[in-house]
Amino acid sequence: MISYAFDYARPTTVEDALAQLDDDAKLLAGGHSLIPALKLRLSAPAKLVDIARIPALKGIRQDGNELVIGAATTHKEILSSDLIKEHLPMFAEGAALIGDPMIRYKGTIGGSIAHADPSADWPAMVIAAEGTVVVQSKSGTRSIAADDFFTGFYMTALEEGEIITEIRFPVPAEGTRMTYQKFTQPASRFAIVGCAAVRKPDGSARVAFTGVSDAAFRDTGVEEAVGDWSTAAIEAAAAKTAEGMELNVDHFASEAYRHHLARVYCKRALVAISE
Amino acid sequence: MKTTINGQEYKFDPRADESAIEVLRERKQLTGTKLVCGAGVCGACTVLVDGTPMTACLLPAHALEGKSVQTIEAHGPDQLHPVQKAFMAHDALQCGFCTPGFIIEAIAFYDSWRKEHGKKEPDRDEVALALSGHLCRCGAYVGIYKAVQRAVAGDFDEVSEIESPRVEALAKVTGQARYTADVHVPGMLTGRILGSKHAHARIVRIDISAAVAMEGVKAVVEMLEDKYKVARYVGQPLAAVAAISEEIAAEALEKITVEYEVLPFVDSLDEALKPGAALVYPESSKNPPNASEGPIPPGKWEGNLRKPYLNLMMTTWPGKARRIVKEAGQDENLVLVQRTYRTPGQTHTSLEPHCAVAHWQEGSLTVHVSTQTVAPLARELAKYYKLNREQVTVLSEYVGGAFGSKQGFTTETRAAVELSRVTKAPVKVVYDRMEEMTIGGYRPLTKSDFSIVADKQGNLKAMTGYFYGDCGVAVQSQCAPWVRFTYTGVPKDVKDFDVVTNAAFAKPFRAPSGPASFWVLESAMDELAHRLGKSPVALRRHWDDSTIRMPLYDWIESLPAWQKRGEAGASAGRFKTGIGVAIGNWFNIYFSQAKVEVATTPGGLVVRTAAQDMGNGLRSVVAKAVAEEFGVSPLTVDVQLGNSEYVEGPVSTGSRGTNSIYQPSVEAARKVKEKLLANAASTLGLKDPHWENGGIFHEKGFLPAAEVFRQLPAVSVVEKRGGNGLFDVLGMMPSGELGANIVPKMTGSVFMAQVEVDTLLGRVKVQKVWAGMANGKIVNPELAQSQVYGAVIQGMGYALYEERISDPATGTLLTVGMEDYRIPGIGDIPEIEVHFHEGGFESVKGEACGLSELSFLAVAPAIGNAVFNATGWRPTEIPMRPHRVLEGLSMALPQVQEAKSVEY
Ligand SMILES: Cc1cc2nc3c(=O)[nH]c(=O)nc-3n(C[C@H](O)[C@H](O)[C@H](O)COP(=O)(O)OP(=O)(O)OC[C@H]3O[C@@H](n4cnc5c(N)ncnc54)[C@H](O)[C@@H]3O)c2cc1C
Ligand code: FES
Ligand code: FES
Repeated sequence: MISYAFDYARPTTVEDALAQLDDDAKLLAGGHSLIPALKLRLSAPAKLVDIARIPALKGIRQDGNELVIGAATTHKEILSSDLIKEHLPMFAEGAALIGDPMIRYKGTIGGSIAHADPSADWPAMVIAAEGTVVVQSKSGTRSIAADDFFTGFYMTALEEGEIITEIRFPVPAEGTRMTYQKFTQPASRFAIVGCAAVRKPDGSARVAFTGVSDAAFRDTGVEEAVGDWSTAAIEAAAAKTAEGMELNVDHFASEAYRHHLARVYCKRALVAISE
Repeated sequence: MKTTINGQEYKFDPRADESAIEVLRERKQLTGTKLVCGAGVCGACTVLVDGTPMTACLLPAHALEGKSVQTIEAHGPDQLHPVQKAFMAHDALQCGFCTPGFIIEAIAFYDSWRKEHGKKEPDRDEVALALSGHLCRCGAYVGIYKAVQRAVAGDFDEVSEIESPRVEALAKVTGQARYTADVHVPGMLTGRILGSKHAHARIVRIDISAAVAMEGVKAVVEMLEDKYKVARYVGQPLAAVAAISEEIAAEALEKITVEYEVLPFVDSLDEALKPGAALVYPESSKNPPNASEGPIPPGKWEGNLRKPYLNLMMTTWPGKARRIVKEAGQDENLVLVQRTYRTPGQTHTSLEPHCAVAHWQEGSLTVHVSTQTVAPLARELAKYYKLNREQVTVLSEYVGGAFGSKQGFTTETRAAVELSRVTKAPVKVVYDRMEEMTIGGYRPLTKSDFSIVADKQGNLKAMTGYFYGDCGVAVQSQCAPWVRFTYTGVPKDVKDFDVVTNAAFAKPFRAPSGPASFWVLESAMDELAHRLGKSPVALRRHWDDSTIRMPLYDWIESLPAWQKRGEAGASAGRFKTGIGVAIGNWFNIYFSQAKVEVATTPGGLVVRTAAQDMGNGLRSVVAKAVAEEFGVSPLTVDVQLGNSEYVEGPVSTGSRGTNSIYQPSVEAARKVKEKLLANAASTLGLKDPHWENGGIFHEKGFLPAAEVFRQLPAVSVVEKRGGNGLFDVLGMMPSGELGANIVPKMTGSVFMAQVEVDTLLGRVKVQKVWAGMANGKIVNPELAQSQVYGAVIQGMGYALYEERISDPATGTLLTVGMEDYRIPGIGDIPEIEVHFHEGGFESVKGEACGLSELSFLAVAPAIGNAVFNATGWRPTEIPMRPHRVLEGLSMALPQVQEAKSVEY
């Protein structure tokens, strides 16, 4: 378990990072997904561009009606932030369930969504909270709605030469409720099933899952069925979880078991925010 | 680039791809920080970076620029942190390989907790959350909880002197214990092994020319040991490379081209038995490796199945047994339980991987190796390489876990020696985690067809058991003996069959085959008791042929939890609790030739023996035996193990350590004392000298031990264990050496477990385990207790979590990382109550027998029986993973389906 040789650069600005980011280079943030992959020789970049210390990519702030989380902000920083606890409490709740303390100290939200592990926690939360992923490249900046960002098994809408700089979230209206519920794979601590759910003051819902299928996804079937949030409606909505989808199978959960868990965790999430 | 390491500025120029752990372990030789999984899962590599705990294995060296790093070495013997003292006092460690990582994290937790909560004691859940990124294979978690809680609460803030029940605790909590993985010899080369890519293939050609031509590559040797040149499992060693660095060695492996002629393979026991299955050994002469600690008896092959020829030892009236089982269905007065049981492959997962450093010089071979068998390995090496025994030295000072997987002349040692023989340089071979998980060893998988019959009055009538063991390409799973030797005196037909598959070979694992046997026997026994409407404890008492367990049955029956247990399936609601009991029965082994030398030097007492301590506490047993004779602290006794130059001690297998070494240590100490007293009279002219209270009392006063050793000439006594004068049976090592004596009287256990089953999600939580042990005298109670804790935890892993899984399409193992192979973590640990019933082995010298294996046996069936008691559903297959439990429950219990739709 030793990686191929590579070069290393630690730019201090996004522009520098972009300049360094040539075809054979890869960005390095917390390294908690990339370095294990390098050690298994699954990937052989010629250079790592370390963005973990770029000040512009770090931190959490409010910008008008939006909350902005820098891509290189760590799970730990997010779960400890007062702004997050106030406006996006689901993030504090969910980030605290990622891995163990050491993973939370190093791992970043940008790295997590860029890596797009089908069992990672952030993707479901970012979708449910209507995030917008802001990316920068040499040719400029663009924004990608979280709904369109996760395109498949470890695949995203990111293109070569793009850096995620931040993720923006609308500040939820007064009275919005949200939760993240997770059934943990006990060895790796990733999600076998994770459900992020938001209930807006008008009673509409946003529900997203991770771990269930090849990529995190928004489940409109559940959202539509939740109707008046009555016990019966929640029951019916949970039963619709991942309807018609192809589910992941691994040695920790068969397809049937995973589907069962997804329904249970969906229901749990909906009940938690139903009042 | 500049960084601060343990308070000192360090300037260096790292490679771009260098990681922080390489900087610490290789550049700085700060080997207290361990490398285990290399993937952020186990926490063994934890260091503080600017005060924050981080896994050094995933940290690029460059990320240390301008940072301050603190490793375990910052807290040396003179600057012990209260957390370290607490680890020592509460025996929060066994092999010690995980210990520095746990301690670093616990120190960070201590600081952050103190800031927020002062000296309030954190509860177990809080400690578990803080340490959730750490794994300990020895299962020292009970002590770890205690140590962290009490350290934070302030117990150790003011303490300066710490007595630990484990004599080497100080070396382990300070990271100073040097394991083989930490050995660094100047000029050392790195060796790496190339494994087969295919599960079954003829190796047509191996082209090493490109690898040999690489700069920095010093040797390439062939490793395939198959006379037909066939690789029979993925990862089977084909070649090995020695190079000046790990990177070059890794690159060289990729430059070796292997031409494979791919053959069909079978990757599971069921597949292997199907008609027309691909054959693992199609050749007429088969030479499978041995997965057991005994010799391979003759057998007959039919395809992938190997049948025993002779089974006289294992059967008693076999024909009658078969007839009773066959006719039981028609007989009103008989009750038959007949089922198929399955148990998984359990990977040893020692945190210190298999590793060796070999140095072949003109006329000598020195091998540092992480091994359980120091002395026999030296002999084996001498024989294999046609050297004199005196030319070979095997060294193994500390062993970071072994559990049965590190016996004899293993592959990593062969690679290191072969490479050193060619290069004449020292060569180090350390398995990476993937190799460790794939070829490092595992407990065989089993499938058993078992039947047991009793009459309505509860008299046991007959048993038949056909045990199919899957040891991969090896044979000898051997479940039948335990069934044969437990509940004896009735007709039995029990047989072991081997089914070979294209998987790496299994190895002995703590109580080899015992856990599978007792899973079957004790699950069936419990079911029979239930069907008869009898108390499972009372029925066992009735069947038991050994008196050794009787006091343990009394103890279990006195426990309120047992008395208050409900009817099977009576527990209501989603979370159902239940109680289960099971017994264990184990051979009682020692090594009559075991020797120990006790000597004095001007500095104090020294004890030497060519044995090893894998964390099970042999050092402390020896130290205590000697110290008590002299009335001094065991910490003042310098116990030197792990060197084949010393007089031969026992191997660390078969729970024979204490039984072999305790008594000769006491005897030798006694003789040394006598010599000292004689010398005190003759050379110092002391009158009436006698030993008391840690020194010599004489007519004119008192000479403390330290002075005795300083003033009197050095003396040395070698003492041999010898037999018990009883009918001891001789057993054999895999190498064919006589290495064991067996006491006719077996040791015994009775365990009880309390579980909570979540019938919605299928999770089983073990809430408490009561471990009743009868293995004679307990020499060192704290360490004995730690051993039992560890066995309960590993046994729980076996029952609930651990399972080797391979990809049926390729035969490649999927559970190759600690993120895929689930071993128990700190949050899983139940409350454990250990009860030793001492005595019963007065005829054994020293009266102390082994316990490490005995304490494993009954764990899984006690948990399974508790699951039955909770739910009314009888598990037959382990591990009882949630999806299996849920499937089983849904089939057995219609109300579970209902519960699913109403609860969340
Ligand atoms: C033992 C273990 C347990 C874990 N458990 C969990 C868990 O329970 N839940 C969970 O969700 N995750 C878990 N993780 C993953 C962890 O959270 C990772 O840290 C995270 O997924 C990736 O973040 P990173 O900052 O480490 O990214 P890196 O590993 O540095 O990078 C990952 C990928 O993202 C790219 N990248 C990084 N930053 C950017 C950027 N700004 N723009 C574009 N591309 C970028 C990199 O090039 C790389 O391809 C675990 C990891 C480990 C080792
Ligand atoms: S070795 Fe670094 S976490 Fe296991
Ligand atoms: S003491 Fe923890 S792994 Fe051995």
